Amino acid sequence: MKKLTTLLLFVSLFLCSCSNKKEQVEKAMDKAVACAELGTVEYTVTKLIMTNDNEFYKLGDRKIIFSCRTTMKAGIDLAEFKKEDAVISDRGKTVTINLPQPKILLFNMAAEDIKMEYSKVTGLRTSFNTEERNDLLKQGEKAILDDAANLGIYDDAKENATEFFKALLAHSGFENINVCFKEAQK
Amino acid sequence: MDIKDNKNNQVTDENVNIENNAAANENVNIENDAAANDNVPAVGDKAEKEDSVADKVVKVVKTAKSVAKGVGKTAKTAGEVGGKVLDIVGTVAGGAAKSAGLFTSISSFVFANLQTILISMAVTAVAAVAGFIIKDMIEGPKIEDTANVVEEVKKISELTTACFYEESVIQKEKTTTKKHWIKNEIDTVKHSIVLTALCKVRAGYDLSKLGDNDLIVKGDTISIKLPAPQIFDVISNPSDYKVFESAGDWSHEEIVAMQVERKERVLQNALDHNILEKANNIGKGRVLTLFQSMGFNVINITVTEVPARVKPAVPAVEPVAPVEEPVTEPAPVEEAPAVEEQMPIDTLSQVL
Repeated sequence: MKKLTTLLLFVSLFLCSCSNKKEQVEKAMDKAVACAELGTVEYTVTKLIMTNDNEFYKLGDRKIIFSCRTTMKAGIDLAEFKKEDAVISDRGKTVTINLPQPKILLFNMAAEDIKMEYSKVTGLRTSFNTEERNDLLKQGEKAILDDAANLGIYDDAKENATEFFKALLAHSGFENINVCFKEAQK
Repeated sequence: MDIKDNKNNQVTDENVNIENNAAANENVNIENDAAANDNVPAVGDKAEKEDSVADKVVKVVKTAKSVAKGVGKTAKTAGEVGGKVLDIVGTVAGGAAKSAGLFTSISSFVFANLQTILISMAVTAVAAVAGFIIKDMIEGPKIEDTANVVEEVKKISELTTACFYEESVIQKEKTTTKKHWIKNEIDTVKHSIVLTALCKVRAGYDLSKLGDNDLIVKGDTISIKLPAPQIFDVISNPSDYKVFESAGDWSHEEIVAMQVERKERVLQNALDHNILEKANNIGKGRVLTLFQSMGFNVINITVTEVPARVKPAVPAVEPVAPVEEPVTEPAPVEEAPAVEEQMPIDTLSQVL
């Protein structure tokens, strides 16, 4: 009985490991995934990322300034666009499409576009290491993304998407085209 | 309060009586004056004068009454206010007495335990400073608030249909020489770094390349000639990197060089995984669905060029071989739009 239990345990463990391997292989093969994103506007944003690390309890100063150039693309995620979001009426002359709200589809802060402009270390301080520099750049990345709405990228994305679909549908034979946007989810 | 109110009422009544008496005296005087004027010979004039004097007397009496009432009301309000003030003064005095007692007890407690209190305050202050320093050390330096400057705004029409993700490990080692600060010898120093990185490659159609004759509509049939799929971006942001291990000095430029090299490798891997072909296949399906939802029954999708599997320059990938690949996808009849003729395409490419 004891032997049988041990055997069953080993068999079940073996089966579990097989399924895990299968999952891993599937995951590896699924590296390229399908998406349907219509980018309608591209913003190039520059920023100075700087810090002055001179707290009262530290002996000496550390200062660093990076300049970076980032690219943001915004548009419509067509995966959220369903068949019922396009309504054709008036014997095929009028079409109303209800698009999802625009969103940031891409944020690219390429390493080659980040330059260290200035760095100074005084007193008993050590210079910024790789991890600290990367943390500062992450903060800069977040600051730009957080400010995206204030830059007006969503409004431009909406406007361009409307223009794009109006042009496409007009050349597809529709006379009256209404492009609407779904309400933003809270 | 009731007692005070009664008192006030009494005062009011007295005032009224006094006023009434005064008014009565006035009446008496006036009547006496009128009696004195009886010596005047014209009787009709006399009667008229008596009437007007009587009216005046009535008016004076009325005025006196209303004045008396007003005085009474004022006195009543003054009495109420006075009562309230007295109440408040009493409460404050009681509170002050209580506070004084409490203060005395607190001060006696403080003097008795002065040493303990000072020690606990000092410990609290040290703990607060230590907490601040530890928090600062854990969180690391913070960036200053600087402006985000929009350098360029570009209108695009990129339909991304496939994304390739790769998580990889970047491992580098190097050796440098350094003069020993005591011995006059040159030491060899080893530096090593291990980074983990997540890269993303996006591919699809640039619809701004659609030409004037690339979209033709005839009845319920639409023919579209899509441009060749291309790589739009290879993305790897600072938040996609993690320093797993770092020993020695690594400059910003060295890290950037590693990241650029990794991006090129990921791009090549994406091409090896046929990302352009996948973008093409997925993209045709997406465009088909889009036009089906618009009510077209027959949709012909043609791709201008088949993507070539060559190593491109980062990030834009332009296909080379120009081969046409027509695809006809008949869709089930659902709701056909009333489009009878082929639609002219004049400004589509300009608009897109």
